[in-house]
Amino acid sequence: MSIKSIFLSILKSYLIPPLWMFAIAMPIMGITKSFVTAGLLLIGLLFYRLLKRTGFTGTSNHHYYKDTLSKYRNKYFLKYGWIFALLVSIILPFFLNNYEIDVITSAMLYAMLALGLNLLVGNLGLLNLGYIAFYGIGAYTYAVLYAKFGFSFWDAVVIGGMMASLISMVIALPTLRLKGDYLAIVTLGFGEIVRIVFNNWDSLTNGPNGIMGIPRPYLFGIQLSTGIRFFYLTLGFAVIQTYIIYRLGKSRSGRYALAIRENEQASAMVGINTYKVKTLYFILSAFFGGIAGVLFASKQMFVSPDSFTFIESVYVLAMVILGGMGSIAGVIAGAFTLVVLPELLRGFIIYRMLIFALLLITMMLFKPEGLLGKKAYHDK
Amino acid sequence: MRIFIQQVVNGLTTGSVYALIALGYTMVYGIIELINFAHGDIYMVGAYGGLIALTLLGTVRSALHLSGIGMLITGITAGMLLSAAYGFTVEKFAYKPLRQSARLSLLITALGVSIFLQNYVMIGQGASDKTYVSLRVLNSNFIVDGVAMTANQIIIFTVAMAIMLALDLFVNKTMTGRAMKAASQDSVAAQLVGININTVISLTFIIGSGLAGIAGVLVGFYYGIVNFSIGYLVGIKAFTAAVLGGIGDIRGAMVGGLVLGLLESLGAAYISSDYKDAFAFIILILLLLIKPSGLFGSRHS
Repeated sequence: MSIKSIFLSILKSYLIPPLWMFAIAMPIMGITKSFVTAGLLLIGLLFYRLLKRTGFTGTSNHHYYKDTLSKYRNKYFLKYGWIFALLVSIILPFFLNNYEIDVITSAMLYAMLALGLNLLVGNLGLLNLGYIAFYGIGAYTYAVLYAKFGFSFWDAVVIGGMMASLISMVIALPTLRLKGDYLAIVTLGFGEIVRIVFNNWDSLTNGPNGIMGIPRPYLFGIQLSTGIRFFYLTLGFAVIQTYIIYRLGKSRSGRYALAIRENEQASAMVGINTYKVKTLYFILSAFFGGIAGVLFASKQMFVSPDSFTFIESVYVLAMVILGGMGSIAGVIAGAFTLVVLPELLRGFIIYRMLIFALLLITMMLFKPEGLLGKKAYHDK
Repeated sequence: MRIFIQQVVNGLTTGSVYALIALGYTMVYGIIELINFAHGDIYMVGAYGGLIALTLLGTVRSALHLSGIGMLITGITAGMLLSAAYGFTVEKFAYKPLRQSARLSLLITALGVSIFLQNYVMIGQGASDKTYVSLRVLNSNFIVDGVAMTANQIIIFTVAMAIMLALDLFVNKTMTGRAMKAASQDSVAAQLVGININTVISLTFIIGSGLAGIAGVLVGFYYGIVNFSIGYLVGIKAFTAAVLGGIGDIRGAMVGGLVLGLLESLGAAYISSDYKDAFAFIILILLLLIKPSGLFGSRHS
C-alpha cells in the first residue's frame, strides 16, 4: 500500500465523518457542542475499528455466540449464586438510608417489569412497545378500587393482575396473528390509548391530576408504612415472580417459546401451537406487569398518567436489552443498572437520556444479545 | 354544514402534512422493511432547521430586500436540506451496519435514534417551546361563505400536492426513481440487474427525510411554535397514514395521510376533542386487525 492510499483511507474513515457530523450539527448545536459531537464520533469510530479487529462485535459472521456466563455456569454457581443474591438483598437495607432504600425498591419494581417483558422480548422475540400500559392498568386498578370502593391492597393485587391479563387478551388474541413489526406498533398504539384514557376519563381516574392518598398495605396487621418494610414486601413479590419465571423457562412451554424464537415456522412444523404459546406468554407478561403496577401505586401512594408514558416502555425494554434477552440474572442486573446509574450521575441529568439512547444503539451494534444474554437470534 | 366544511379544510391541512411525512415511512419500509421510528424526529429537526435559517435571515432581511415568499422558500429549503442531511447520516451510522442483523435489533436501534435526536436537539435548543418566525404573507385570512381559510393552509395544501405529484413523476418516470421502485419490490433482483442498493437506500432516506423537513417547516408556520418533542406524535400518526394507504405504497401514503387528517379533524369535532390523539391509534389498531395490507394494498400482509 502506498502512502497515498493509506492517507486517503484514513481521511475517508476518520476525518470525513467527524467533519460531516460537525457540519450538520452546527446549525442546531452551535460551534462548541458540534465540536464535542465530532470529537466523540471520532473516538467512537476508533473504538469501533478496534473492537471489530478483536472480533468483539456481535454482528460478525458466526451465528451463535459463546455463552458469556458459561465459564461460571456450573451447578454450584447456579445453586448458591441465587441464595447469595437473596441474602445480600435481605441484609442490604440495614446499611442504606431511606432514600437509597427507595431507589432500590424502584429498581426492584423495574426488575419485575423487565422480567415480565422479557417473557415476550427475550423468550419469544416479540416486541411490546406498550408494556407500561399494563403497569398503569394495575396501578389504576388499585387506585380506583381503593378510592371508590375501599378495596384493600391484597384484593387489588389479584384484581389488578387479572385486569391487566384480561385487557391484554383483547389485544393479544387478534394481533398475535400478525407479523412481528405490526405487533410492536399495535402495542405502542395500545399503550398510548391507555394513557390518553387515564388522562381524560375524569370521573374515574381524576384526569391529569391523578389519584392521591393510596394507602400502604397491611401484612399480619402491621402497616408496611416505612420504606424498609415496603422493601421487603416488594422483595417477596419479586422473588416469587422470579421463581415462577425460572420454572416456566424450564417447563415444556418454556422450551416451546425458545423454539419459536429461533424459528417459528420450524416450530409450527414440529407441532407446536405457536399462537397458543405466544398468547399464553403475552397474557402472563401482562399479569406480572399488572401486579408490579399495584405495588407501584401503593409505593408512591399516588398515581397519575405521567408515570405511564411511552418512554417508560422503552426504558423497561432497554433493561431487557442491556442485561441480556432471555436471561433472568441479566435482566435483573439490567434493571438495577438503569435505575441506580442515573441516580449516581445526577450531575449529568440533561445528558441522561442522550447517553441512554446511545447505549441502546451501541448495544444493538455490538452485542444485540445483551451483556449476559445467551444466544442471538437470527431471522434473516 | 359550515362546521363540517371548516373541519374538512382543517383536516386537509393536517392531512397533507401527515401525507408528506408518511411518504418517508412508506419509502423506507418499502426498501429495508424498517419502521423508522426516528422519522418523526427528522421532521422535528427540519422544523428547527427552517426556524434557525429564518431567524438568521430575519436580521438581514431588509438589507436583502427579501419578500415574504422569498423568506418562505428559503425556510423550506433550509429545513429540507437539514432533514435530508440528518436522514442520510442516521442511515449511514445507525442502520447500515445492522442491515444483516435481526429485525428486532434494527427496530430497537431506530427507537434509540429517535430518543437520541430528541435529546440532542433539546440540549442544543433548550427544552422550552420556540416561537416560529411569523410571515405576514401567511397570515392573511380568506372567508368564503363563513368558512375561514388562511393563506398558510392553502400553501400547505398546494405545496404538499405539488411535491407529491413531483415525487410520483420521479418514481415512475425517471431511471433513478424506477431503480428505487425496483429495489423496493425485490432488492436482490434489483442488485442482479446492476442497481447499487446502497445508493438507492441513501437516496430513499434523503428524499424521505427532505419531505419530512418540508412538512416540519410548514407546520412550524402553521402552529407558530416548535418543540423538541413534536416529532413523536406526528411521527406515529404519519405512520398510521402509511399503514392506512398500504405500507410500501407511495400513492397510498398520500391518500392515507389525507384520509387520516380528515378522520381526525371530523372525529375531534363530532365525537370528542379530548380523544383527538387517540383516534389515530384506534384507527391504526382496527386497521391492522381488519386489513393489515391497508386500504388499497395487497402485498405486505
